[in-house]
Amino acid sequence: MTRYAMIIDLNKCLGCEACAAACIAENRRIQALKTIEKAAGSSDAYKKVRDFWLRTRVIPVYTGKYPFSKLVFMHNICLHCDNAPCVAACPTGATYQRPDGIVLVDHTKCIGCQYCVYACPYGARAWDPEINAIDKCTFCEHLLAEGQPPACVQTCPAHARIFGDLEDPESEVARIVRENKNVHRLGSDWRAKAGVFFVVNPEFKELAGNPKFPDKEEELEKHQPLYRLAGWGVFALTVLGLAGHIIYWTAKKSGEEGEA
Amino acid sequence: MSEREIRVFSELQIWMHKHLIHFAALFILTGMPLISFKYFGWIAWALGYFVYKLFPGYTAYSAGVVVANWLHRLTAFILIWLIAAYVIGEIFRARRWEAWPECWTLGCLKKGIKDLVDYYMYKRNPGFGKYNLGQKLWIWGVVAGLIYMYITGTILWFRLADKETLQLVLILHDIGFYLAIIGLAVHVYLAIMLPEHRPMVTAMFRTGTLPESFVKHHHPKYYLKVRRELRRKGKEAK
Repeated sequence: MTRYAMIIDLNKCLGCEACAAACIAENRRIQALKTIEKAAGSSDAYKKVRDFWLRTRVIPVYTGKYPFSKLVFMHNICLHCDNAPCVAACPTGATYQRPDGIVLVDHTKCIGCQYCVYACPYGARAWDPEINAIDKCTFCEHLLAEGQPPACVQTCPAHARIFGDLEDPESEVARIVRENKNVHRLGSDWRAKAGVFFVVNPEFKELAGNPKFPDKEEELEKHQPLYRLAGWGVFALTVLGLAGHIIYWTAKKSGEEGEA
Repeated sequence: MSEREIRVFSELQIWMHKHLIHFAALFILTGMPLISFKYFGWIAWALGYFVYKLFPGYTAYSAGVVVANWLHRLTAFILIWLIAAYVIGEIFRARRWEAWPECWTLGCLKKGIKDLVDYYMYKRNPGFGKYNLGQKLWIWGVVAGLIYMYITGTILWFRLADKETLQLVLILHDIGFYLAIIGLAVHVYLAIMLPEHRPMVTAMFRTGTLPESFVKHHHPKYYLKVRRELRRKGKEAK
């Protein structure tokens, strides 16, 4: 059975963002034009355009200290996970996974509750008022149906994005996953199976397995200590409350029985 | 000789009210991260922290959203059965609930509102029955609210409408949540923070009874009813 997968070779990526531009041209042209139209002339035009949501983004990541600092361009994209949290979180069945591994959103079923946006660990989804549904990477399934690879893969000048069938041992993606020791999956857990792999040098290996995506992750990270404290607080209060509840009522009952 | 106690709540009412608090807490706790992840994402984190490692690819947050979603539904499922049992147990005593309006005229409503203002604002005692107008409205508000939340929740859970309607129903369900929070805050405040209401709180949570003098002073109309009934029962016993 086919299992579509993408490999993003971070050693080859130039950071040119042609993939993001190709994705917009192929999938989100109307939204982009409207954003530019709305932003034109306004004082915060840059911010409005900058905040335009992209299905795939290129994020510069620096490590080390000068003069030994290094730069790699990390990519943010839907990983088309097996056992995807977004599929489990969707209350209407709008988000689903095809047998070939592609995670899609049925726009006619999506009600915009955004539970999938909260559930996605990678910030790879967003509400799109233009289509009145959640928008995400589809691996350009309409192009796949015509026998073409996704737009970003077609456009990448460095051949950093490679696409194919993981189950076909002859395909380039299967060969790279099989032979290249620097291929990693992202995810909080190495058992996570995803449809996107990253080729990354050992010095950037911490990127794989510990993704730091902007927006959602950064925002969550910023409040992490508070979140954790609040989380533990709620848990501790619940346990204390339950214990107190049980102790109080047990003591009361035995007291009443003693009196009787 | 200790004062005579008058039964105002049945054991079933006490039991149901107590457990409604547990269910309301669960509904609120699991509903908050779903209604606003931005502000209540930490609840999802707390809910998901202990289970996310069981599910490859999940983070505490993403597992928490799924856990919250299913706990919310499970809570609703269990509660509906408890409500059914409660209704079966209480329906035969419906005439004695004292939650029905004393009369249906506009004048009656105006008097009820005036009595409320007199009682809560000026600390006068207008001579209520078992419940005043506000308490009766709260009781029926809770009944109507539960039905409303169950209808909207069921539509959302089982996708019983088209996309646009579901979007509207989701907003209506959210509005219901906010109204419930406001109602609960007022209810809890009036029940706990006013010292003269405390015997009623004790009755609702523990004894189910009120001292005769308290009923006579705070609920004179109800006291007359109870006394009539006690006399009738006494005569029948003779």
